[in-house]
Amino acid sequence: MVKINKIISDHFSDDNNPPELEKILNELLEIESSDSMKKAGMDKLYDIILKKYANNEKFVNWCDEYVK
Amino acid sequence: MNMSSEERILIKNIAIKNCGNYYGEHNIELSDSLDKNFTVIIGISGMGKSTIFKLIYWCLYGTHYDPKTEDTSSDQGIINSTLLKSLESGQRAVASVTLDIHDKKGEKYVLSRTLTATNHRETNAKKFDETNNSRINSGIQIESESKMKMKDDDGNIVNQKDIRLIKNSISKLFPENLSDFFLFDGEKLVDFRNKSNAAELIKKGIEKISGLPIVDELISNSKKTKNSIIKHIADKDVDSSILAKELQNFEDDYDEKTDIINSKKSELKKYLSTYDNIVKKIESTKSGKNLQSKISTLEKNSKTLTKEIQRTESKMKDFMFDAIPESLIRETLEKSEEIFAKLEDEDKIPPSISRGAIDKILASDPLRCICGRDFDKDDSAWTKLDEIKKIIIDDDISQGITQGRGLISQILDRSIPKKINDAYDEFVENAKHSRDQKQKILAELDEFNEEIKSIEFENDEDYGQQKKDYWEKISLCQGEITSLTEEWEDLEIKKSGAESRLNKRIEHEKVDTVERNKITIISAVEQFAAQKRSEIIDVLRDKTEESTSKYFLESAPQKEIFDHVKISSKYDITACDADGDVQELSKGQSHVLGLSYVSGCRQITNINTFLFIDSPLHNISGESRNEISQVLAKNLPGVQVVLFVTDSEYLQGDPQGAKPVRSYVNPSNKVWREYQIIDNNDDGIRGKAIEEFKRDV
Repeated sequence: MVKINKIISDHFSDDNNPPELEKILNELLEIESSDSMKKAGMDKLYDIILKKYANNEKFVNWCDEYVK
Repeated sequence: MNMSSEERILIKNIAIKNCGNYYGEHNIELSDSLDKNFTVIIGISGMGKSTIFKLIYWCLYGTHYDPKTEDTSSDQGIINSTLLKSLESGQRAVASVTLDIHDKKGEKYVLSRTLTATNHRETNAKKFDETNNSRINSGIQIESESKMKMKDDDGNIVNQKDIRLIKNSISKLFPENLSDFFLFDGEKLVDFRNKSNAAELIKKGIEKISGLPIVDELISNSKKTKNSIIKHIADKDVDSSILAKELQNFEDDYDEKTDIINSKKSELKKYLSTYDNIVKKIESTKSGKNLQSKISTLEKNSKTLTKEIQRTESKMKDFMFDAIPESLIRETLEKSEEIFAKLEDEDKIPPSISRGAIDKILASDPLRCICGRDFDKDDSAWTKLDEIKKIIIDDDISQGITQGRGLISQILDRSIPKKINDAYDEFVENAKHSRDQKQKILAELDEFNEEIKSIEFENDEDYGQQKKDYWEKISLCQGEITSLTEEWEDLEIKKSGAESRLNKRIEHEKVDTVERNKITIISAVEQFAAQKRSEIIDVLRDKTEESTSKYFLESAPQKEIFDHVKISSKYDITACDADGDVQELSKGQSHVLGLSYVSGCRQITNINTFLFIDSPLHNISGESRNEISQVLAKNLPGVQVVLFVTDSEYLQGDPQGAKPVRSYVNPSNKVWREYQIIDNNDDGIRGKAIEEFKRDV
């Protein structure tokens, strides 16, 4: 597993953003930095992570506003 | 570089056995001192300094520092080539590198990589061997083994051989993508004299330090995942509101039809009631009662015949539904049956083959098995064969084929065109007969109804005509109700279908809502990561610039003329004066800028690993060499430094005015130990050896 530089993790962490965003980013970074996880299939792993947050209405609304 | 000793990770010992140009076992102990942090390995050019450097890389990662291909390979690989060439058929040679890795608590890991070569056959042919990274004799096979002594989760010492676990542990300490910053090739410092090469080096360096490729992958995979979900939804996207409207339309039509039918039914009820009253009036006279009795009987018979006609028509419909498909496949089935019959004649149907074979054995005289052995008539083997034959006949395949053919036979029998025609004609004849009978009855009814008209009633009413009129109204109304009911039933089926589609859609939409939410989330992730990526790269460039500037301004020759180092958005690195003007750099200054960059990057990575520099003075002479020597002597405190230098640069000056590097580093008490690479002739095999260098300055 490749170590994620603190500068990246610091940038991905922002108290003004929902904590869910940071959690997702950290989970995705973990997948991207792990050779063994990559073998499991990226699409499936991404999907599993997204599914965990897809029913979180408040967070989804925040994302919706963010991408507008 | 002021890094705390708490964070230090270093290599305490390197053991090399039969690797590269080193034959036999060689040990290099390295400094773990904070003050005397330098270990120097001296050797003339081509003696094997870089080999040690590359062997350390190979041992750490299990991959080659400079991987060769079939076209670029030579005989020089990991295993000592002289040893490899001397292997006779059946002989084995073992080569290994072992690193003792220490942290602040002492020994952390002992990592070994071993290659074992076995000569299986004598041949002059050569092949490229990826494991050894060289051309080897085709008869030789090389096997690799990795082993790491480490502590398990319970603190017990274990010898881990799982390559993935070893890789994970090593990557945490020495990420392979950052290897340039602890296994540094001094030749790269030359690039800092050339603007575009330096820019490329810095760009790659910053990306490596930051792990930005991981963020790039994250952005790219977010996009792919988003597109994949969008495609998934688009494939089945039908808005439920359309289906809801469709259902509503059917429900409206259904309700409307129900109202009409009910209205018609109540109309019919009124007609029937009026009709009954008319009939009662008619029956109030004797002749009328007599006629009405006959009419009632005829009407009853008419109803029975109507039912019979309906039943016959229904049977005809069913018959045609059954017969038509069978008629259509009849020709194909006939051909299939012909093939089956032919196969059966030829004993080619599976059970027949086995059965035939057994029959053949049973009928042979003398009784002889196909294996050639003869048996007596009363031998139990024959009874057994009979049992097997029975099982074969009774088995699933036999049963299946028999049943299949039986079915074909039944269909063929049912679908004979003449049989179908005869059956159809019979239905037609029956229906016609019933209709004719009904016609007769209706004619009789008309006659009786006409007779009723001739009856004179007290109130002069024409009940005969009224009865006829209402009967027509009732028949018309009943016909309408029948037709409306059929439409109503059709609507009910359509309504039920629409309801089912809508329910399924609603279920899908629940899933689709989740899918749509996923798209929203991953879009936000992608956008956020892309935005942060550009921020991160700016921050990293600034930090690299700041750190490089710090080291450069501390150590550059004639440092007083410089004010700062600048790394542009295109990664051009320049040293500027206080007015921001770019200053031309000497060879030595460029070299120091490169070393400052490496030191700066190491600061960003936040790991105080060893720094092994191969050829730090590559192509540097005269005063420049002196300047760099001073930099090396003054800086890098607390970092385990191993310099791989030529004996001439380390021990001698040069005609351009360079003093020996040793005269800079040794008097500053930086050097813990010096080694020199020497020629060796062990067991008659010429190679190199490493010994401590003890000559005084």
